Amino acid sequence: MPSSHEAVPDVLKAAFRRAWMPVLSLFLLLALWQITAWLAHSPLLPSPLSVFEVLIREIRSGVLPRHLGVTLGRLAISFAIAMVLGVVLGVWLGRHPQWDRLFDPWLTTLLNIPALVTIILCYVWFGLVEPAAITAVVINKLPNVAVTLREGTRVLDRDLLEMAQCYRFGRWKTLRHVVWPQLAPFALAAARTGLALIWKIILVVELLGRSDGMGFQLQLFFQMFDVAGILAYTVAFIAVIQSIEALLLQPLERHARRWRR
Amino acid sequence: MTRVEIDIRRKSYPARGRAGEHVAIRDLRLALGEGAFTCLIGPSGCGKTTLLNILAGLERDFDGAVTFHHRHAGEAVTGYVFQNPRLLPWRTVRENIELALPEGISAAMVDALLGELGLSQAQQVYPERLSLGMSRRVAIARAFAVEPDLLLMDEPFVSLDPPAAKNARQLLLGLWAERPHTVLFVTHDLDEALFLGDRLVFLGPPPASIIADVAVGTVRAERGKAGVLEQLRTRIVTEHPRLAHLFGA
Repeated sequence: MPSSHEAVPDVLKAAFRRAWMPVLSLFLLLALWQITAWLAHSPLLPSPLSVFEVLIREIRSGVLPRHLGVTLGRLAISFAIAMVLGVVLGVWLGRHPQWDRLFDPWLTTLLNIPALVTIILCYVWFGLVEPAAITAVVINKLPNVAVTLREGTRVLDRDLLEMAQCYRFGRWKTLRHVVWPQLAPFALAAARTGLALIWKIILVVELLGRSDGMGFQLQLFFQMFDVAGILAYTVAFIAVIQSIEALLLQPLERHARRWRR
Repeated sequence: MTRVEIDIRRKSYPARGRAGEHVAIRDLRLALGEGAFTCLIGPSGCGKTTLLNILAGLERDFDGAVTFHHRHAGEAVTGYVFQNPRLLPWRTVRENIELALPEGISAAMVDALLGELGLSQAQQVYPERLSLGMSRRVAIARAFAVEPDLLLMDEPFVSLDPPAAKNARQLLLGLWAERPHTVLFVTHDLDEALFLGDRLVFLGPPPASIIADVAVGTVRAERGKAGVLEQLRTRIVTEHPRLAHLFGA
């Protein structure tokens, strides 16, 4: 079959065309890092290779996986809570303009409180406990999700809602087949910016009041001026977050857009 | 099949911003006969769509009553072909039809409808990939699929090119001959109304009320023939001189 015989190299060629630029770009970054490390010749700027060695050592000893796991657990819980509450709140505000007028200033205020302030206040009021940490992250993310979903709800297509009403879709069918497909792009946008926001905040939360997790470890390395440790954990974390983005959020987004021309 | 009695004393929209209260319909009394194909003709903005929305149950805030005399228990079912097809872009053609179906309507019926409207090949296609004519046919299939007591159509063939519109009208009549329903068809195209309707109801400028009610009489099969539509026009103008301006006489 000549067609399938030629199809495979075509796919590979396409993959290569897409990938060579990012690969080259990363390679350049590593090269730059290596050269700077040579020039500096200081334990405060370790070379990529020594960072890699630390990374492997920390993975083998099980310390990095454990702390990474703890942080990802917190990330998952606070992300889920912020998304669910934010979607519900956003849709409700989008559908009830009179309540929206009342609560909009609250949202604006929340959006403008620095993350650090929420974290400190949560620890002061609720103590250095797990729920306080989760609450602090949720409060930081929630208004953002709510505002995005409120916009999505405001632009819901009235024509389609009328159609659903005329054909007696009922509440559940309307929600699932008419409303949700219109809100999904907004929810996904909120999820992607949310992930980027939350994983940065969560490290600060751990640094200030937890005795495990990536943030806690980074603090230890900081106290010992162990830059190789800091960089090794950073690399591991970036890799995990990018994988979540590429393996979970991007496919979801493609699925949500599949009907577009 | 269903007889529908419409008695709307007044339907108005509240004042908004600088625009004052808008009275869309006043004293409109109309009975739609069982299985009759009634065309509603009137200038744009005269409240035709408002009337259809009231009949579809989308607009409940009005002064008056609409009574359905149908033979089954429960609320009357309306099929509504909107001016725009109003298909869910994220559902396939078939899903769009099936979602509207009440319990107990068979898949075979959907297959038959899709076949008759030339949509069998397009079942799994998303609406954005369809031409306007095809989208309109899907909307018609959906309206027929629910086996409505009353079928409402709001200028369903507007902005189709003439051959596509002609084709769509013929498909519609074919479906309707097999599955007779009580139809209210809104249009501003007189030829279309003369070609399709048993009865033409003319509305005046807003607030909508009836200015003429004409029975067409001529057998549908005859209407395609040369000269027949012209004869019909002439007859209507002679009987209803106040419609002369509409017929360009």
